[in-house]
Amino acid sequence: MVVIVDNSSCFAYSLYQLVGEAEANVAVVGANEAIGCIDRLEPTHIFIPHSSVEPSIVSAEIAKRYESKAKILGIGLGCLAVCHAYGASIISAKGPTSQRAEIHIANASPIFKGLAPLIQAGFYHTKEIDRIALPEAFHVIAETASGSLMGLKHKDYPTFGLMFQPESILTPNGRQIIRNFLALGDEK
Amino acid sequence: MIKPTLEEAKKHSQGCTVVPIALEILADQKTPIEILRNIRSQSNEWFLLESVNGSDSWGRYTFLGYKPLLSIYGDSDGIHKRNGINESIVGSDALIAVREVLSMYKSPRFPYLPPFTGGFVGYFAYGFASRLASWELPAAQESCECDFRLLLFDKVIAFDHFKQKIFIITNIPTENIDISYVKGVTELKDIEKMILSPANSQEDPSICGNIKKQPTYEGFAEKALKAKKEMENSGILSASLSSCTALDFHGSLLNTYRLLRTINPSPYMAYMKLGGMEIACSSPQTLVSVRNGKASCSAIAGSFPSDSAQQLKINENELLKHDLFVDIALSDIGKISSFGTVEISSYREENISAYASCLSSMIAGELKEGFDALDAIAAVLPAAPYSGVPRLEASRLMCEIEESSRSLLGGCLGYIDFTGNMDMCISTRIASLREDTVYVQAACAFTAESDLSGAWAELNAESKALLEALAQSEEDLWLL
Repeated sequence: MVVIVDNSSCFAYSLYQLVGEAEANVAVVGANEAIGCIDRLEPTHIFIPHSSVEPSIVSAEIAKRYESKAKILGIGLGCLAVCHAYGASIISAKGPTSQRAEIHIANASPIFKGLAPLIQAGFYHTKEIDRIALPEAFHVIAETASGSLMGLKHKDYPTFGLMFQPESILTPNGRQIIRNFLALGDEK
Repeated sequence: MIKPTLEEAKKHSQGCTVVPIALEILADQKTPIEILRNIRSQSNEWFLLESVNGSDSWGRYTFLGYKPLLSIYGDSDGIHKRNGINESIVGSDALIAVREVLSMYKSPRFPYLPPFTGGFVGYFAYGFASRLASWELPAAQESCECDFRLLLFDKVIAFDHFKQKIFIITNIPTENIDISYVKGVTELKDIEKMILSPANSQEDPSICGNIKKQPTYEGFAEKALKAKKEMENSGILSASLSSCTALDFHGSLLNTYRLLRTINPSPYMAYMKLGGMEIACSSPQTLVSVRNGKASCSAIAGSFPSDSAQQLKINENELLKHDLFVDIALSDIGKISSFGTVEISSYREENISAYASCLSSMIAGELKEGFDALDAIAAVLPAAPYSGVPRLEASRLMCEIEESSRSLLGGCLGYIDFTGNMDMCISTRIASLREDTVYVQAACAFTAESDLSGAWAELNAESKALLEALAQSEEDLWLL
């Protein structure tokens, strides 16, 4: 069972489609009732997609509450919410709000399995994680050439964050990344 | 010749409540505008829908209708249903009210008939979004007339420009079909008489008067800069700034529409009168359609003066802006489609018209079980390039900054038929006439990185053809 938390995201249903292609047992739940739904549905995987304009407090709460019960993937502002739950600082991003960039990935990470070390990706946001103050709980698994954080993995839990949008037309390998995440077993 | 025959109609009536029957006549002596003049003398509410393929040939069909059976519209009092002189409030859920009527008109499709044989024709305005969950916009953002108005037409006149035929269509009840078929044939013959009678020679003078309101670059720049500053801090990725030109206007928009279809022929040409409002539109693009269970939605990058189409192609910021709308459309269609069916059916195609060009992409998917044309409309409104991204936050921001209502702009206009199909264009490049004032509205999408002069040029290009058509409409066009 996979749950996608709908943070009033503009892109939640693109993600829903990509997940649904691989796993038909998927539900989109509204952020307000998400915790009750997740408690009831007991999903194996939780997606926290890009939210509308701000990282959501509920999303941060979900990340902590289910850290040892489900694999969690935060995307865009959803990634910021996940990282914020573990103490990361959020700062204004530099550069245009819509960007396409080459991302260096740690392709040994299971979420990037089968991908080349450099991938094209698109992202849409005005905020980013302050790398200098990154909590020790996270490994960096993706970044731009200029050093902006693009992917993180929690050291103790199967919790991931991507600052780019795997569901975007600007991320050709996005479908594979989603499938890799869904294929994660019980490893940490 | 009447098609289908009574026997064929009976055969296809299973599971349907109505069956379209059509009388074919030759179309070589009449034009759609001639027939429009006749039907305008017979009915206060009517429509004409036609199209241009690409940039150089007229579409196969022109559809006309008059004397609607009923209308449904929404305003702050609720959802109104008007049937002749009877009018009642039918709750506050527009989609339920429209579905209830459509459930009474389920029709089969016949391959030899035109694609639209009867149904609702009308519009969903920008403010319709406030009827959908979690959209509570301040009142100034709402439509100044209705947030939607749909008229039900069970009779349609369809020009087939390829076959050079006119299909006169009526929908007959399947109950007591032997009797209703005979009655239907009589109705078709009456419409044929009306079509073949001399065109109504009454002139349609129009007087374009004083400018009541007109956008200025200074006003535009002030608002755009304010919006860009807010966008930098708020996480809003794209916003849309609209303008409204208002003119005193007496008469009808018929001449304006006649000019518009010659100086700016577009994929979606519409001229209609719904309630107390006349609308003339030359829209460049589908917003959303459903055909045989397949939903499609377009993403456009905004408009530019036609001579800068090449520049648009290579401008990285505009390409990224376009791709943002493609991503939005993928999610909108993804919401209502079965897994594995969503596809980008066309990508970054040049949509060129005489006055303004844009890049457009089309995203399609098979409707999920239990979803219909109205779900598809609800999923995409308001059109993302006209609301901004994210829709709600960007709309709220622009509502605070703008002083005028969006009215029809950024909504959609078209038909929902008795077979479950639907085709709605983006309501843009549109003039609306009510109470002796004509409104021409335009909008430009921009991001925090957009160049203001480019956005201003886009805004002007959107309304240029209509303003020219209005200015020329006072001439005696019947002599041309």
